[in-house]
Amino acid sequence: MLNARVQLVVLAIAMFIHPQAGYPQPARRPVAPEAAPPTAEALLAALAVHDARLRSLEWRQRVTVSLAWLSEPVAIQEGFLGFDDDGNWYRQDRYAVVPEVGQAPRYFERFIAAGDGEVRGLQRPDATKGLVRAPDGHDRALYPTPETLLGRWLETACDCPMSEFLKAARKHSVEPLQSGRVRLRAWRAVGAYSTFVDVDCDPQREYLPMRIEICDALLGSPIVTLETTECQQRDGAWVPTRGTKTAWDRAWTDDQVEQLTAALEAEGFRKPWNPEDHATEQAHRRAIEQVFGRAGVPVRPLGMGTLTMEVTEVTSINTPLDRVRFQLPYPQGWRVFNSLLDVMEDPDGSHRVPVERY
Amino acid sequence: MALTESPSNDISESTMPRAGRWAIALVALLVWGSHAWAVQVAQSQEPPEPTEPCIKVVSESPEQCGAARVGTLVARSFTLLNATGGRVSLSVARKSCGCVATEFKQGELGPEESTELTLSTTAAALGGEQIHFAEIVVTRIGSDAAKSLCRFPLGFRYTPDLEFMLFPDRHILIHCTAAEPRDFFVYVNGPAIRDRPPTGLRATSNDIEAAGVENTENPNVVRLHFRARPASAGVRQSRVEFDVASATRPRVSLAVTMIVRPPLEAAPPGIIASGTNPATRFTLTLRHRPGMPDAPKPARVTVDSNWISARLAPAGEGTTELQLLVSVDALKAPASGGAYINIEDEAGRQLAVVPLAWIPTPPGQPVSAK
Repeated sequence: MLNARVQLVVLAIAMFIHPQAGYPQPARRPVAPEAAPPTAEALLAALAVHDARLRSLEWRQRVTVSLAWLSEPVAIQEGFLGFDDDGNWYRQDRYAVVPEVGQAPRYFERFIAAGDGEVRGLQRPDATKGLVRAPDGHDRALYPTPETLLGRWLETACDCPMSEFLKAARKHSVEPLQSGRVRLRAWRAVGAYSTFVDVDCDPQREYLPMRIEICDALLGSPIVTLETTECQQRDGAWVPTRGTKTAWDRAWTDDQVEQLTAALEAEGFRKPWNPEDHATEQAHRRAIEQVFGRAGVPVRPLGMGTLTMEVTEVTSINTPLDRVRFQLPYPQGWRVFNSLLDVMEDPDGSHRVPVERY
Repeated sequence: MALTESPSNDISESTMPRAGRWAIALVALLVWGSHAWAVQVAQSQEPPEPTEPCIKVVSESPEQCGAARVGTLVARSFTLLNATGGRVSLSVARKSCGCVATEFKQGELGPEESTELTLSTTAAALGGEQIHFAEIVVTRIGSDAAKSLCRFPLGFRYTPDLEFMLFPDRHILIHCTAAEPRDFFVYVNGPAIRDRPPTGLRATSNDIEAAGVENTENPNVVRLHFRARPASAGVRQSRVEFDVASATRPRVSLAVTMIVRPPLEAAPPGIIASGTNPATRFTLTLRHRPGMPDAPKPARVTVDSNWISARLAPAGEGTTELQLLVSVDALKAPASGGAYINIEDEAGRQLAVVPLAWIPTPPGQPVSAK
């Protein structure tokens, strides 16, 4: 708490007090004691500032998951990652594959680097070839990272700043939370899902997004939750240094789905539901409470469960990364399959042989 | 993407529960997305021996369904025999994709009873082998549903019979700077495509121009050259389109997202005026991005709110930097609000945008109740 206050004071000195030295004190409008929470426009502008503050980052992180049959959490990913605002990024790390329920994980080393519209990768062991392919939206959205915890890659096809993504929502609402945080809700489709996004902003950290949850627009049940539990201020930007990502699966039965459908049809609604229709939304709320109670549609963690991310080192922030970071050291003698050109090439790409496919 | 052959592609009988290759594939896919490397890793494992009989699964059709024409149905059926000695219910816990349909002939089985399960999907226009599965959960009837007797994945693979493949195949993401051209490419792979190259390259917005079709060292691959030249910063959406000599997909349309940086950097990049006594005057420094010495010169400042004023001033002799002087009229300002300060050149092109969040806290109210 003390640290947060000290940071706020330092920030105030750095950003606000010093630049206005010498200006006359402005008149202030009296504010009612029972003021409303910040408007959506104000929160969106604050999120835009946070987005703009972090242009590039290089860091080391570890992602762990708890497995029922192991006493200690397993590090499923550990290593260096970096990105700049020119679209370049890399990941050089070790990741785990759990071969069998009840077994210990196996580890692989991986190096992926992307730029100029292509991704180059290699992994060891169990591979003798490198790969060149088109970028995939999941490349940077898979694990919790400082950038995903700031809301980038909510739409996995795009690393749009979250503020830009939310600004384009069809409607917004703001709700103060018991914790003192403020929840911005934005109704906007994510991929093929009709969803709303809840962003809990912390006034103690300049309205930094501390929890982001994508929910089904009609069912209200979460699809993905990203939560920052620790963050640090570096070079004027807030960097999440610990947090979690949980993907959710609906834990309903076929009978409950049928009951839900029947309850909606009894009110005169027919599939396909229109998620943008207010009456349909209200009917879903009533039907869900009728079938599932006030707790709503039950969910359980999908896949391996909650992924916990911890940043162990920040090596660069808002400084252009050396191009060497994005060059892969393919071992001598390896062949590299370039799937864009459908050719096998030497590690340096100088000699290319088309693959016999047709 | 070509994959190595699995040693157990002819899998026809198995006993559950066992996670086996599909669980490995599932975990690997979770880790890797949908990359072929992961599948190769998965296939390097031998299926484990069954550990506990629960449901006996028999399938007469192979796991590898082979090539499938785009738009046709791909299906694999299984016979599930209840080997638990009690009455059980069957359900699907999760699927690899919403595109996979699952159909049980009956969802409950008595001892030694069997039923048929069919997994199916419509062949998608995607490159490379497609892998799908459904995780089946077996629960004893009358018992706690949360305690399943066993759960196991069943799956199938197919390879869309494409007349051509695209890379990227769905979406193109570009990072660029406003007013600076950025080239990007779409690769089209098809038999002797060089002899019948795509035509009619176009974009749905003026931000992108088509620069032509280029041959590569592979006669089966051509690359379509496009050039993005967005005038304004921000996130821009567009589409590129072209025509292909194809019976199934003669017209291709791919979404393009351009993340467009402004040519000027502001320091700090924006303002959050919050707390019980927020400042109302700010000075920011504007400078050209590195590598852009010839960027357009700022000429005008516009603000989208009447409670903010902003103007440019030279930073001093011997520097090309500018200062942006911003003041908030607290008497006119709303209780809270957001605004954007735009810096434009003579032609009205956006050179920078500075967000300002105005969130004063009323006196006597804590910033946070935490």
